[in-house]
Amino acid sequence: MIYPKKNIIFKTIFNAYVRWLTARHFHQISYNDTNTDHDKSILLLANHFSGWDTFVLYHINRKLFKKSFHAMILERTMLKQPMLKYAGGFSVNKSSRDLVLSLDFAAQLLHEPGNLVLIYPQGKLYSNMVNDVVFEQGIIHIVKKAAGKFNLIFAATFIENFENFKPVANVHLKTEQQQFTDIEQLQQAYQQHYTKAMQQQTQIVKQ
Amino acid sequence: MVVVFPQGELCSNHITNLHVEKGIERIIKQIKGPCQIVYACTLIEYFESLKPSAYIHLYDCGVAGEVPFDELCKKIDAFHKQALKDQVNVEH
Repeated sequence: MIYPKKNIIFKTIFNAYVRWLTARHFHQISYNDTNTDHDKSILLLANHFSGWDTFVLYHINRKLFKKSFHAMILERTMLKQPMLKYAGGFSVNKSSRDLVLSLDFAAQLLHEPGNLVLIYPQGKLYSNMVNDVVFEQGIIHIVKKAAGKFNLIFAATFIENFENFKPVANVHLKTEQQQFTDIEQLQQAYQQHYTKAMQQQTQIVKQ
Repeated sequence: MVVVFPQGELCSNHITNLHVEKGIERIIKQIKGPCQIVYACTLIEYFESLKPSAYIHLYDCGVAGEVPFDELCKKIDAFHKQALKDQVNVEH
């Protein structure tokens, strides 16, 4: 397993890089505010459909949550882009015994109130057009192991262009108050948020 | 070739119901010669890339005047829904 590494110089460079990258490529990144308990960490569950997802949510963390950013990333991606470990990335390999180590590590991070852990529970990239979001099993292990220690936040992101040549990323955030011990219930709660967010997205019309 | 956006306004790429405005019917009625009507459903996605890919699903609606307008609208809407379903399984 690849663990995140702290390096203040790299972090400063990465912050500037993300700021430049998102400003250059996006017309706008819009998101709603959501209430959180500042004395708890954040577990951010998001849909995964593009190479932009992590950059967009990294940007939102800097603007809104202001926590120490961590993201669970597939091992093959971490090996291709080793610098990600300096940006809070840690690896997961679904076909290895290291999987439990990665899940335990994520839960351990959530015990520290200053941390944010981003996880894509779908486990891989899907189209942004999917109606149904299906979770892999691993996420419930983290939720149970760090129960009561974190704010659970759902993020549903949709990227569109409308009248602009540069895209707009709309991130719909929701703090979920319910405690979960069952993957089906967690998935259903996320699905409810995702469907509502998609409905809001489809109501946007430009003349 | 004439390109027309039959929705008449900019809509989200995620809409599931495709509404065709009446103006298209007027255009079709005015067509004198043989003219094929094609509906293009374009869906933009990123997947693992930072650059977008445009997936264009094309539907041959037949020759102008062959299909009644209401039926044409229904067929376009049905094709749009199917394109969204197909997009979920698209190779990337």
